[in-house]
Amino acid sequence: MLFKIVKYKFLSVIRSKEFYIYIIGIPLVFMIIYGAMSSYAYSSVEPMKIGFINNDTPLSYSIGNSTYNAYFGNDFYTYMSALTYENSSVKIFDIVNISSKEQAEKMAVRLEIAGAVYIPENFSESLLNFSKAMTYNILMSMLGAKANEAYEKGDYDLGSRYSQAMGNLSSFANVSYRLRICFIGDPTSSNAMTSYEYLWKAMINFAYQQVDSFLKEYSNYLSDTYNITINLNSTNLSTDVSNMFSIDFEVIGGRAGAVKETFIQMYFSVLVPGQLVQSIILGSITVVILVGYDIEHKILTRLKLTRVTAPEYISGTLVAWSFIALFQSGILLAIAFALGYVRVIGTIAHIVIAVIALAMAGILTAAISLIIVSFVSEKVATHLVMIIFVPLSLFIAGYFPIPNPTICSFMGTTITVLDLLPWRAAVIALRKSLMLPNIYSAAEATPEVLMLVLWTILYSAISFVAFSKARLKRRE
Amino acid sequence: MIVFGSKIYAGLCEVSIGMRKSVTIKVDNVTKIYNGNVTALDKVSLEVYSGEIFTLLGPNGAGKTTLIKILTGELKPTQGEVLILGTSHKEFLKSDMRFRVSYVPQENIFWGNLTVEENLDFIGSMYRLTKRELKEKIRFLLEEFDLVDVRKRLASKLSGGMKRKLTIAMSLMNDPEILILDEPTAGLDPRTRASLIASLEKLREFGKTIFLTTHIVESAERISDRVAIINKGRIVAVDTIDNLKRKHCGEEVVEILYKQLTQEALETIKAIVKEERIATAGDKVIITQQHSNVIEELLKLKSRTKDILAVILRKSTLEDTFLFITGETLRGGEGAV
Repeated sequence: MLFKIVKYKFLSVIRSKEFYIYIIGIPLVFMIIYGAMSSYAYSSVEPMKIGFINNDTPLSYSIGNSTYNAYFGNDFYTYMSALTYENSSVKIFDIVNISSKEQAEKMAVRLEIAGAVYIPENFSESLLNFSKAMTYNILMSMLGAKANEAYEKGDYDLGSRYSQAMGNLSSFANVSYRLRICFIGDPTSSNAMTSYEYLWKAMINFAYQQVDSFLKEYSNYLSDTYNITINLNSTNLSTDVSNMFSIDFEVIGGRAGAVKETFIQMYFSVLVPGQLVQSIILGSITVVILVGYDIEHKILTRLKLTRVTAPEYISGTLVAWSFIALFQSGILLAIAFALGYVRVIGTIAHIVIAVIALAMAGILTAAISLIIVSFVSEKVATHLVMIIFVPLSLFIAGYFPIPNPTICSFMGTTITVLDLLPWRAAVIALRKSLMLPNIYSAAEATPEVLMLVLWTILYSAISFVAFSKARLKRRE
Repeated sequence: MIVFGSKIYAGLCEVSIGMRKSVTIKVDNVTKIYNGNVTALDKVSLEVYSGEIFTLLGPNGAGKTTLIKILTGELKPTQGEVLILGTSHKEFLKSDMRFRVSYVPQENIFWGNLTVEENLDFIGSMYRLTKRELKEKIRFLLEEFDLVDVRKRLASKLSGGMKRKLTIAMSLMNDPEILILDEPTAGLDPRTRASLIASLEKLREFGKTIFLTTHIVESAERISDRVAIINKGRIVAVDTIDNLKRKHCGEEVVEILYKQLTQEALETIKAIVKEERIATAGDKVIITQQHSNVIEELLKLKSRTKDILAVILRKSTLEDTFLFITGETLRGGEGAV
């Protein structure tokens, strides 16, 4: 009998329009709306603590007879440390040195840092080559124009000296470079995203400074060597520089060498668990509508005439909703995969933890919905659920940063206001098992799953008592 | 003591038309008062025999649904006693006896997002039928209610008549001895109504006891073995249709249709018919026809006045019976006796 209740409740729900509107459609709409809004959410003027991993190798290079030492990774650290907010003396970054990416990821997960800048081994060499390439591009066309101008005026000597300078530059013609640095962080953190934006600006300015410096040095060298005049018109330099390097945003838990992504993609790659749970929470509307349908259309009255008992009916309903939660999560996960938001797959144990978390979240939602519909009429319950659960789902999904005051510490664990929302445990368990399986083992997600199970048992027990008495009691 | 099926019931014998029949439902002096002051049922007593189709006929608001809700245990009577299958109501609702009764309310009850077959399977499972029983019952009911062709169709996509049939078929999954139907033919077109009535007649052939309420006279006349007339919460008559007609308005009535019935016109009619009983319903005057000369007098009256549109001699109906008993029409219009 239980199997039939589960089977037909499941079929009944997934064939209903409400299901697709409320628990698939709405999360997708919010995804778009809040994704767009998220880009404008950063307005802090406090120093952001970030990590700095410098794997750069210093080098020396010569221009003519002069020798220069370059350690651009170190220079960039100094440059970033000195940056201040516009029209303010407040520094943008509070930088701490970190030894490895793994350490950076763990610190970012624990919110000890907003994120970390990773400078690769060949950073100085790449930036030097980048400077050479830029110098070649800028000076070659300029010298060529000057040489032509001199030849046209009949000043063959001057033309020849410009041509020799061009010959000198030709050694930069085939210089290759791959100027990439990386930022490791959690895109749901506004500090991480703000840091990333400032990092872009800092990198552009820093690279501009290096290229400009090298260009000037080399121009002076050519001027002195070939007795020519070079008027640098570097007004287009910054534009050129910004288009020729990249800063990868490596999402914590993301695969190594993550490709460059848009802000919205990054933002949602970690929000997927939140969206799944939001979708499940919004399922409460469908629960109430369908229970309301059963009440209004006297299906419950009809069932009371059969042999089904209240515990059987409620268990069947709750178990059915666990499958419905998995079904809807499957759909949303498929979309998330298609959009590239989910890129890491953990072990079987991770997947089992995720499945348990999703199923529990479904049961929890159905149980709380049944409790509500036990105490108020089905119509009031629908409005009540919308008023309570729609905003609640947004908080839990983490579409925007929200205050989360600490309530207390218990056995070394900090308990916050958000921890009191039972679905929060599901979000954290899913983040660990679905999104960060390369940081957390499945066992590390177990405490949240256990917490979720406890919440689910508590609310299920209340729903059993409340719904049985209010809606399924047989008159004797 | 009589044997009914495999069960033995004591003390519930009734002699009717020379046959011994067991009483399956006995309502004894039942009163239901809502909110302390609204009397929905007033000392209602009736008995329903096994294997008959018993109709509770009355206008909307007469108390039919209240009585059904008491029978199904949804409501508790304020006073009085109900025996079902020989068991006290309280015991009946507590025990497995209740599964021997099925109830079909006015509304169609099914899961709209499940197919016809799935609905039957679901409700059958709720009665803990075995897989084999389910299969057999579903096949049988699909055939009996002409639902075979639509068995894979979602219930919400069925026509009104099909939905009604599905609701009734679902109530038969537990093979009940008693089927209680609240307004089963309401809202159906005549063709579907006829088809549904045929299905209910078949159920009677299978030995089911059917207790139904209706305010549609045609349905009651076509299907009922016995009829109880209920008005304003009171049972005003219980008998076979023929007996009711014979007792209260005869086999034939004369119907006089006026353009506009006035008190003066009514007095004229009364002067003519003298010993006959007269009832009015809107602009109609209905007269029991006991003496053959009355019709001739009335036809002469028609030829003298333009206010009379027609004088018709016709077979009496349950509607007439109801009118003569209660002074009201079944459709809620004003009447008088």
